[in-house]
Amino acid sequence: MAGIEFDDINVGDEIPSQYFKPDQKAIWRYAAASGDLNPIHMDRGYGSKAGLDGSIAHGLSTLARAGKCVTDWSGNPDRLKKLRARFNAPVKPGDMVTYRGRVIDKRIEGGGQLVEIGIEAENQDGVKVLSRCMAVIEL
Amino acid sequence: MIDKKFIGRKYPPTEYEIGFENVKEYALATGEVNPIFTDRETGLRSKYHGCLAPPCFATAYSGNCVQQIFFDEELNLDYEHLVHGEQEFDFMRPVVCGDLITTTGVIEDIIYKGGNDILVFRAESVNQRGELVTVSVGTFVIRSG
Repeated sequence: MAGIEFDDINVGDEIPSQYFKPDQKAIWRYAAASGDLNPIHMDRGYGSKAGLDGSIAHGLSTLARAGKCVTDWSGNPDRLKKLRARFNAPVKPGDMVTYRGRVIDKRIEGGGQLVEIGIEAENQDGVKVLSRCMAVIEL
Repeated sequence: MIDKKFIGRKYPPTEYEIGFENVKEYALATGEVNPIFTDRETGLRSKYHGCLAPPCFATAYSGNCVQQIFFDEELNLDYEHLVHGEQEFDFMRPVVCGDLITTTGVIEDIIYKGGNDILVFRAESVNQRGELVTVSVGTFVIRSG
């Protein structure tokens, strides 16, 4: 698969933004695919009881899409070596999450060419749904 | 408060065989459009001789291992007040459809902070050749009250 080259990447480069706008059906679909059937995701009434305004999307689905931003850009999914985030605020059905990524470091370590990407994920109100989100790819 | 004596508690290994239909469903549910995840022919023609699992499919194959903490009666977590606080994945090797993944888990830390219990669970997944494929560190917050 074609993809980016280490020498062409500079610290500060932006990667293409992506968007995630889950509805309840998308949350059910992720639940079925991932095996995480926690009622906080499945049942709007349960979410309300737990002090939330309805159901929430799985944090790991929000994180998976952050990883997808990086692998769509890097060109080969097996280049992804690390992905992490803090789940800072819930994502609810109807929210629109915008992902923006930027190269924050590139280095050669243990014989590998590593590129570190910082990712921001914000909802339509500018609330960060992920914080401390970063990925490392090896090229 | 969760007793700190549970730090270091290990859970029995769980197995998960990577199936193409599961991978495809997961890929589609997370918006993936790369045919290396969803198209058999593309997978077979690739250097992996099969479709790859998306990296975060680790959620699925390590899920049974992680869930053991939720069903541990001695640990007795308050599942209704539990939220996923942080997640870190390290991906060492690609996971291919047909792989048999074995995951072992340990409670790495228990922290009491801001009135909440925080539990850190580390899961290591190896493939059928014994090669480490993924390390998953999940942080769960049990909100008090």
